[in-house]
Amino acid sequence: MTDWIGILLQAGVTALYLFLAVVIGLLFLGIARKITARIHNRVGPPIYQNFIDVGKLLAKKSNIRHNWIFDLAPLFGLAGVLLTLAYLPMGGYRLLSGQGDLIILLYIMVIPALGFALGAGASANPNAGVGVMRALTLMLSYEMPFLLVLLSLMIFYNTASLDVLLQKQMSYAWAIVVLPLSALAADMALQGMMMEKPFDIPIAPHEIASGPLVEFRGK
Amino acid sequence: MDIMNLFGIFILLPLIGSLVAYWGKKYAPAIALIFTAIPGIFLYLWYGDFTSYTINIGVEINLTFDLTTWFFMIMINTIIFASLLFSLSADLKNAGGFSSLMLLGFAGANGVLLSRDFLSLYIFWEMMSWSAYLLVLRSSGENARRYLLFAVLSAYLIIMGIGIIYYYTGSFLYSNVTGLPQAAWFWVLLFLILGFAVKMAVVPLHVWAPYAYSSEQPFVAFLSGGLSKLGTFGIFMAMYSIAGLSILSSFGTFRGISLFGYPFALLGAITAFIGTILAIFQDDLRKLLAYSSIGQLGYVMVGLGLGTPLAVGGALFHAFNHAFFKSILFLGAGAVIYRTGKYKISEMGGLGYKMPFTFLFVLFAIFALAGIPITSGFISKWMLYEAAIEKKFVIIAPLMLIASVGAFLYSFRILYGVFLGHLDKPNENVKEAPAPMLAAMALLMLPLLIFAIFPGWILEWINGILVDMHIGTIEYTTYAYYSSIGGADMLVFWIAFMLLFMVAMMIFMMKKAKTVDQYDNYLAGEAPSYVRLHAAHNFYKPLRDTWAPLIKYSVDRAYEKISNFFIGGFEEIKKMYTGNPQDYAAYLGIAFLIFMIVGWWLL
Repeated sequence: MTDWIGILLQAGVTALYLFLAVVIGLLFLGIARKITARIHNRVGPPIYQNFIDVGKLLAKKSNIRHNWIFDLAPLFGLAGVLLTLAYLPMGGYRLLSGQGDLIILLYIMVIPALGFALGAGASANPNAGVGVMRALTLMLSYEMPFLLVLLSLMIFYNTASLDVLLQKQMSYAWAIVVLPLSALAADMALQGMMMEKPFDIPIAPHEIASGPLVEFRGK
Repeated sequence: MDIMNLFGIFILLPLIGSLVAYWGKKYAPAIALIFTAIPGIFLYLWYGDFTSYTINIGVEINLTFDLTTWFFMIMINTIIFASLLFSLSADLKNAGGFSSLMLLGFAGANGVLLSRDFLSLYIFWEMMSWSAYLLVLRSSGENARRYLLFAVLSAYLIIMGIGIIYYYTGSFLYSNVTGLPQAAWFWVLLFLILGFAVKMAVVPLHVWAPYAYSSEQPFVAFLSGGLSKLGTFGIFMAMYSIAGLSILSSFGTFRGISLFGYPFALLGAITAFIGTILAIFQDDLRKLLAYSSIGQLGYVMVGLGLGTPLAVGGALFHAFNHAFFKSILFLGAGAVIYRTGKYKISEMGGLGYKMPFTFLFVLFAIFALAGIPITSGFISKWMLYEAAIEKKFVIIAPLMLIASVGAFLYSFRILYGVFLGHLDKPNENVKEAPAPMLAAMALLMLPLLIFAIFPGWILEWINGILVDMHIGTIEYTTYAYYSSIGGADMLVFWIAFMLLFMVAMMIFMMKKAKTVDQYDNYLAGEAPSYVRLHAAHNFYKPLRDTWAPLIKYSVDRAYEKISNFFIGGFEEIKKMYTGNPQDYAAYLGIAFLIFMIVGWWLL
């Protein structure tokens, strides 16, 4: 019976962690907006602005949907992101990840993107299709350096487990010191992965009306 | 069970069925279905009842029913059953001939899997190969010729390997293959592996596949899902049963991997990469699936080449997964082609709303193809990646990983181009595929789902095979699987995924949303009355432009150049036949002179 208590405890901790992760994520976004505003020499929104936005969007009266495939996007999106978070070992605490395997994490990270690709395709808007095509083309480009970096890490430390990677870095030396070129490549790949500025053609708002997200903004 | 039962159920029965079905007219697929169901039932009954028989009919031949045979048989039996179920409502012309040839191929495939001697192996291999040729011939002579050329090449390579073995041992039995010199082993393995690799469409030998896979869909599902696994089986037997790990490692080892196996693993990784890249740019749905099939079997080749327990286990598991998901994809494509009569992706679009079940099955197969952990397709890929990373192979592992990213690109092309996006006017009256077609796809979906939740069940069989072949063992429990550098637990994944999906569902259900028409889109203020808005034509053009310098090189065209060179040469020789009697008289004179000189020199 103690097994059950342990499992429930772990599930509770994971749920708490996921809730905190969402809260902290929104908070960080708020801070980022504030910093951007200060760089632009503006006052900027308050740092809790994103909570207000989420609340506002959840309280909106007129929502539209196209069909059931369209609904897969938010469902897979939220479930996939939360699952990815739960599979990230935090410090010494492993949450759900068990062995902390990096490859299953890589594939879980695909689930939200896949859901969004399906949802974007479900409307008849050609901008969405073009946007997803660009996102996938970009993905092929940034995944190559990123996967090479991950492989260099896995092969250098001889493990595919994120948990062991952390421990080995703590006891030996940080990977950024040992593999500086990999770190540089990963940084550039991450820029593409986040679709931040030179890599923002998939959502190009002025050209294809935010691409995959074009139909997700209600009427 | 004795040898006659074994031979009777798995080989003679399909042969009889093949005769009966030929006269079955429109009931032929149904008759054939019964004749494939009976061996299936016996496969279920005889699990664990593994035996081996050697009989002497002038030469010694051996039929063995063991776990390896059983594993491949259950795969092929399910695939042919589903293909025939699909063809029940596919309105094929001359259904009798079709079912008859399918059963002939099935009997040949069973024979190949049962035989443990080269004589019966070769006979059954030819039977399978020729029935496949005739089935390709049903739709196109040109495609069939291309297939035939490579099938014959495969047969020649295999018979050369067999010839060398017979020269040294004087026996056809696998178990008698001992005491060959090192050089002989090299040639035997090379010929056998290349011969079987033709069936698996490994890269320089893959040219036939895109053409042969453009035939009738139920047959292609069987060819790609079922018959190509005979190539896997052949290579597996040649490397690990006939030769064995000790012979392989006598060629020298590198990080514990045989130097003989490594080039083939590399070839497999290159196959996976090239197949995937070519699949991205295809507009013909059948050709896209064909190149994808080539790419996926490249992964299997990597596993077979590496030869660690994890790699070979992953290869067998991936072959199993590929059999099922690729058959679903080919059958799904068949259903779409059957309903619309088109096979170009850019002419379809929006069919997912008209054929929701077909869409769901294809979506699931694509999850398996792309390796999303909700299906067992992930686990086999995981095993292959970890096997390559474990041994620190810095060329094979990135090629495989990048090929799997490329798989997302062509998967989305299928999903968006065919099933999502703008529903075209000519396709507005398309109906859902007939029930037998859906049943066939649903049947094939089950193993992918079951083994994603309980990977231990299939890993138990694979582990049994690995132990039989003295390769080693893999670590697994009912829900989890491990390598020396990592591991994953599917039970935790499934429970977490389901719970979080429900959380997302709950938040989603809180809001009522108005459903709007599919065509009610944001188009920046434009209100076109009717324009075709499906963005599927030349879908990956930017990528294609980027890769143009690489795509310029083609194995296909290289073969064509060689063939043109020979055709040119023969044209020149043909000019000898001028039709002028004086020329022939001159040739006679020259030939006489040459004989005189050679004869005088010899004597």
